[in-house]
Amino acid sequence: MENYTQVEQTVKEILAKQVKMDVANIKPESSLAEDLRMDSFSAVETAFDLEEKFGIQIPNEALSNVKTVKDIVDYIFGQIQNKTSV
Amino acid sequence: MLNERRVVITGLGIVASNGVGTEAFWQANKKGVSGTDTLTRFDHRDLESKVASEVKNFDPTEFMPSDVAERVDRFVHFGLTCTQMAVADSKLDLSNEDRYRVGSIIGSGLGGLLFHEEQMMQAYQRDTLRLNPACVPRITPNAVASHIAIQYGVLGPNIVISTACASGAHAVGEAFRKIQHGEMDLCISGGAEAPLTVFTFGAYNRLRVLSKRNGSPQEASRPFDLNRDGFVLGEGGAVLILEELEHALKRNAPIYAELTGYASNSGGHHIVMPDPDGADASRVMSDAIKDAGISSDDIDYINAHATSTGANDRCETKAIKAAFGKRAYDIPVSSTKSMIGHTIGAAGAIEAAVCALAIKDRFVPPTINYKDKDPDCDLDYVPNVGREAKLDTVLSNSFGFGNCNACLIFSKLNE
Repeated sequence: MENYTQVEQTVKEILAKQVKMDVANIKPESSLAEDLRMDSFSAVETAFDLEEKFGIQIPNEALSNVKTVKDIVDYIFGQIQNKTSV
Repeated sequence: MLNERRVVITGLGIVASNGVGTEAFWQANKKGVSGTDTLTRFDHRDLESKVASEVKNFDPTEFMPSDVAERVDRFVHFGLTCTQMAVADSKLDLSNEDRYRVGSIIGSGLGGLLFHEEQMMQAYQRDTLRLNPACVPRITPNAVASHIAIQYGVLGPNIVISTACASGAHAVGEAFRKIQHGEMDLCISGGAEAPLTVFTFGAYNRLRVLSKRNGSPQEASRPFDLNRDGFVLGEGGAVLILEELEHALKRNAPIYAELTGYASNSGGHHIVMPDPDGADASRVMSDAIKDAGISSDDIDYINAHATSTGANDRCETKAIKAAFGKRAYDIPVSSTKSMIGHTIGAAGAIEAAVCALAIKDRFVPPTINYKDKDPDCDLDYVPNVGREAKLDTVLSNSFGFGNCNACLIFSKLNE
C-alpha cells in the first residue's frame, strides 16, 4: 500500500501534467482554481486520471469539495485506506 | 453581385500514404507511386480485404505541440498537420489578419473513430464510469475544425461537413461560396480522415466494397480497369488556403490557381449505390461548369471520383459522356485513388489539391494499375504514365455514399 508521501507525489505529477506546470511548483497548499488555474473540464480530466491511477471512484460531490492539492491527497489517501481495510 | 469576389488557392498542405508534405506527395503522384500495401495497423486475420493505404513515418508532434497531439484523434493529427503546412506555404501571418474574417471549414466523413472504438470497448467490457471524460470532444467530427481554430486563433466560421466520400469537396466548395459571398476573406478548408481501425475497416469489409487483391497490394486500387474489385481504404488529409483574390494580391501571396466553380446535388437514389444512369453526376458537373461561367469545351482535365468499384467507375464514365458528349473521349480523366486509396472524407480535398498542383505544374497525373479495358469504361484514363499538358481549367468530381455529389472547377489565374 502506498504511504501518504507517495500518494502526494503521484497526485502532484498528475496535476503537473494536466496544468502544464513544473511538479516542483505544485505545493500542498496550492489552490486548484487560483494557483493551478484549473477549469471544470481539467478537473474532470484529472479526476479520471486519479481514478485510473488509484483504482478508486471519485463522485461529483467529492470533486466539488476539493479546493487545494492537499484536499485531493487527503481524499485519495482516505479512499485507499478504506479500500484496503474492507 | 453574387459572383463578384474571386477566390484563389494560396497554400496547400497534404498528408497521404504516398507522401507526407505537398512536394513529396506531388512527385509521387507524377511518377505514379502507390501508397498501398498490406494492412499493418492491426491484426487482420479474419478480414477478406487485407490491403490499405496507411500513412507511415508520420510523427504528429513535428507539426503541433505534444500535449495537443496526445489529446486528439488521428484524424485531427492530419487536419492540424495539413493546416501547419498550408499556412506556411501560403506565407500567411494570421496575426496580421482580422481573424473574424478567417474560417475553418473541414470535411470528415467519420470523425474520431480510433478513440471511439477503444472507448466503446471500455464501456461494454468494463463499465461506463470508466469512460474517458474527453470522449465527447475527442470523438466528435467537428473536433478537427475546432482544434484548427483554437491552434491558429481563427474566429470566423468553424464548420465540419460530413457527406461521406464527398466531405472534403463539399468543405472546399462551401468555403468558396462563403468567401465569394463576402462572409469571410480567408479559409482553412479541406478534409481529414483516419478510418483504419478495426471496427470501421471491418464494416467497409462487410459492405463488400474493399479490394481483395491481397497478393499484390500495390495493384489493388485499379480504377476503370476491367478487373477492378473494389476500393482500398486509405487515410490522410489536405488543407487548401482559400483566399479572396484582392486580399491575396495585396499581400503578394503565392497563387496556385483560382477556384471558379462549384455545384452540389443529390441522386436521391440509394444509400450506397450510384444512380446507374449517372444523371445526378452528369448534372452536378454541368452545374459546376455553369457556375464557373464557362462551357464544357473549356475543361482540359477531369480528376475523377474513380474509386475502383465496378459501379462507381462505370456510372461516372457514363456521366462524363452525358455531360461532355463526343468531347468526353478527348479529355484526360485520371484517378488519384489509384495511388492513395480512398481516404473517404479527405478524398475530395486531396483531389482538389491535386487539381491546383496540376494547373500550376502543367501536368496530368496518371491512373495507375490500368491494364485491361472495360467495354463500359472507354475514356482516356491517362493509363499508368502521367503527361505534361497545358491546363487552363480542370474539374474534380466527388460522389459520397447516399448520393452526396460535389463538383469543383479550378482555373489558371487570369488576372
